[in-house]
Amino acid sequence: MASPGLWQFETGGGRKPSGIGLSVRAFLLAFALAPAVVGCAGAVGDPGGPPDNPSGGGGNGVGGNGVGGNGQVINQGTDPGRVTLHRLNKVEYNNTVSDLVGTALHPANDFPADNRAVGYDNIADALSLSDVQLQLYQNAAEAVSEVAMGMQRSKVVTCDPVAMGDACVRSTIQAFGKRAWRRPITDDELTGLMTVAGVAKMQNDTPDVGIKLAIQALLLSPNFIFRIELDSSPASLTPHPLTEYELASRLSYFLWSSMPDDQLFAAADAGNLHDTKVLSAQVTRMLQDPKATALVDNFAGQWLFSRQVMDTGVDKTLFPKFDDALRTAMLQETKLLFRDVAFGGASAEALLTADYTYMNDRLASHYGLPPVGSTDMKKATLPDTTRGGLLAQGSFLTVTSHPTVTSPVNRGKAILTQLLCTEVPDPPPGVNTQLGTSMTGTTRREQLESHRNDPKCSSCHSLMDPLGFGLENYDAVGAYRMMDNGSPVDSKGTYPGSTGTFSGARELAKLVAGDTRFPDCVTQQLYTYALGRAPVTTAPDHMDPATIQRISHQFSSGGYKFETLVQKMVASDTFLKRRGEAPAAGGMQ
Amino acid sequence: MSIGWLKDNKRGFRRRAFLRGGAGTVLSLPIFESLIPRESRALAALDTPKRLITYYVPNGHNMVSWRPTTAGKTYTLTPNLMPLAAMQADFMVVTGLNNQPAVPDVVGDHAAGTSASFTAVHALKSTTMLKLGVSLDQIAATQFGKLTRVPSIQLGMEDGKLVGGCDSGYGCAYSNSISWSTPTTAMPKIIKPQVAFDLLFMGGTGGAPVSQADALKRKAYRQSVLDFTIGGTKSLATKLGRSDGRKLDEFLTGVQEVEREVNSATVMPVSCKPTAVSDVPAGQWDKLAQVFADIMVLAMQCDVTRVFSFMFANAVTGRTYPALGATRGHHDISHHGNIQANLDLLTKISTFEVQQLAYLMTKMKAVPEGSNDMLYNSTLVFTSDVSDGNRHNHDDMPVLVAGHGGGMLNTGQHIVYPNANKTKHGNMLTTALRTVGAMDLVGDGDNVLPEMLNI
Repeated sequence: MASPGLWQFETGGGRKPSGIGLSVRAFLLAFALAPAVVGCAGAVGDPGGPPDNPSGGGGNGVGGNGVGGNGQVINQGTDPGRVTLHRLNKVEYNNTVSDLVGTALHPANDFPADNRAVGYDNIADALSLSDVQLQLYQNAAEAVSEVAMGMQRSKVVTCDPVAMGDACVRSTIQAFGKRAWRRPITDDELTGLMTVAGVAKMQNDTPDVGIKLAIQALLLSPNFIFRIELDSSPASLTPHPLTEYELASRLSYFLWSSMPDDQLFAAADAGNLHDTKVLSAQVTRMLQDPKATALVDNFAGQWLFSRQVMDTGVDKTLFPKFDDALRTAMLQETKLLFRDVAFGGASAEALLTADYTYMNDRLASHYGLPPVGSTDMKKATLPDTTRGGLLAQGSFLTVTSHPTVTSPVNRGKAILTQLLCTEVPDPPPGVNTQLGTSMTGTTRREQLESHRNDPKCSSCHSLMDPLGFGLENYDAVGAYRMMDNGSPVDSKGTYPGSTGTFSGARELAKLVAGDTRFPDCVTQQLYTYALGRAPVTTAPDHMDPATIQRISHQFSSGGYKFETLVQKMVASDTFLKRRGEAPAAGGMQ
Repeated sequence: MSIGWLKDNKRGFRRRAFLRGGAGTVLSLPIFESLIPRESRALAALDTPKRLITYYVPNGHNMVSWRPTTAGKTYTLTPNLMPLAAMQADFMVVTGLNNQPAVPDVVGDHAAGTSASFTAVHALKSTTMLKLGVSLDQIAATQFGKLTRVPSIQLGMEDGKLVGGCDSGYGCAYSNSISWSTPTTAMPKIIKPQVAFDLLFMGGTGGAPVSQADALKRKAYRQSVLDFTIGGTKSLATKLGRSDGRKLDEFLTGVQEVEREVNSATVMPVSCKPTAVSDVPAGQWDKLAQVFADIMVLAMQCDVTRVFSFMFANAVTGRTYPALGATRGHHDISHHGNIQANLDLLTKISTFEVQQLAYLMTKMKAVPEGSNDMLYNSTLVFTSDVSDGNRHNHDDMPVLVAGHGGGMLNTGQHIVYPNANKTKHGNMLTTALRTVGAMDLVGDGDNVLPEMLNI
């Protein structure tokens, strides 16, 4: 089931159900027409407003102009782009020090929050640093070194530094340093670290203290705190492959949110990680590793909004039973479904259309379904069609609600932005977005329908609200309901921009899953997360648009398999290569 | 060395136990390393230190209940401002200021307004590329941050949403930070009192008491680690291009600051006795604001730092205040639609915010300094991202300027700038900066506002 893209009406183009060029055009149009999106149908705001990123070509910002338009051939491009020096975010820092010393550590819990951009907290351009953070890095380096040379010492030190002297200190630092910096350390660097270790000797401390200091120096270094990818000519725009070790880190931080393991290091040492077969085998192996649950927590947790369910505001007086145990079960439900897709071979469409779910008794009771007989989450077949798929899950429904009432607007908007990658602007200033006394009707839907009589509102809301109405059988905490405020719920509607009709979440979900924007969007979301940068649509020679087009095609024609998506992404030139940057390009810099 | 965050580490109690204290127990540190560099103590003796605090509250106010209906020295406080009644001579209400740079590109008033609230600079609209200006507090920090062990500290009570965008095409930093040290560097804030406490009072490490000899050894060790880090960073910098180099530069600046702190460590003056910070249960925003206020006052007493920023919550916060009857999110309510019930809730939230400001001011006023008090020697600017949350306007900014700026501020009045004059919010910020001894212009500011000053 397909539908025309939202913007096809303005541009006059029809849309074939599954034409690849056309489906990607929808993706491009969603960006290229970003200024026109403001106001949705041109009725509100200023359609000729400034582009999102005034820096124009060459920037990493989404939006602006220069690409797209009906029937325009997509340039394959030659520019693989570049990722700015990438600071480890809090999750990556915790995972990395834990893997480094071999025990679970969480020093980054005290760090300030990472700034998110384009929906994710691993976007290099947005990950800045302040003086305070450096102080916290120093604390963390000292604390981690205590653990490394304390209870984990036998893993870190494999020789006798007292008996063997400097040779043991040197080999210990060299081995730890390679893992900490995710590449072999040079002779000069080793000499510098030996100088640091030597300070302990001058203070009449043991060699262990010296090693501890060297570990602190390794951990406070930018080579640890940042993922560094070097250009042999920093000002040259000629693409070049990443080094073996840089590629190993791209892989491990994409799939594990952590450092490479011994096998990745071994492949990089052997110098064959760029080999297509080796690379593919590594990806397959890494996806099977338990560390790949990082994709569930960090990618899906942000993409599908489920991370927010532990923190979202719910009115305790209206929903007294809504507690942390229920929040946790909701989060688990979404994670487990995504896990089936990411690692269980299920089609990505199942995220929306699954005819089963995961519940424990607490969640089943909340859903009004028979108990599963366990406090642990169990895979459960469903006795009716009230559940199944993300759109009928408590996490999604709660996070997109207000604390007291549902928000069909937020729900519709989340479907558009997260699953269809179609941006909707916020309401213009001066517009009353409160459903108050001027609204008529009993149910939430009736109130919103009356609200949409205002033409200033309807241009955008006609795109969002009908999607949200399909979910009105679920209250603000995702419990099922037939009545809203004493009147029957109406969850029927027409899919915006098409003639497809639906009644309730299950039918709506099928339409979303069949929308050709869906595979494009899944691809774009993972692509953004994988590279840690926004896809570039403003530079005509950039490889991003064609790469996403190609991967999306391979993904949708290959049965919507998540592993296909990951494999094709990792094998793309934008993942394997980078380039330098022109010095002082005019404009905003 | 603190290992309090170690998973399953039963010995990790020390740091937290200290901070929480027991029931009614007040703990103090047996020995303090640190805090005031000798040269700044000498300066402090000559000249009473001035302090600057930027205090941000989100979503504007119910301007009808906020704005006093009379102007001048004899103005009458509105009920919204009544928590400050006992200190009416210690602050001024300023209305009618225009923060034109806060007007966003099409939409995004909260992000553009928050980032302009203390910079008076128009934010570049982008989700990944940040470009703004230097904020009031950070201009002050470049002026006298070096006189104290910590140049400035950024505090707040909300970490930020975990998913989704923040505001209409503006990167989240614009919504979550009010302190900008460079046009591209948003200073993240500390939201945990114990982390702030450790950074300010324990040299950041939560370190156990040490002897003088051990302290010297620790300093030597840290210096050797920092020497390696700084050398390596400078060497790496030569291999990087433009954008990468800029990221590394943020790092280098921070490491050099850490180095300065390590070298400024001397023995703590006896008069400065930081005591326990208590743990605050989730959702008790008044208690949390008060703990942060206590930390700020303590940091001023110990002269650890003189520059503070505080965010009551982030822009567009969805925080609820059930105890005030606000069970919907604050931002939602701020789009009040002129419905009285919403306006009343906004007044309650605003009054609650002003109560927390009053707590801080009261604490500061209770600390004698020379012939005056701490509040007298400080300048505090309290404002928001927008004026009326329903209109998203920036041409009538709600501003309180508290403290006497060491005697420079003409407090105890309501200054009304006629809306039509478009008097710059940036000039108010410039005036505030002038009272702490820095002559720079802030953002679009081009002058001081003489009405605010005792001339």
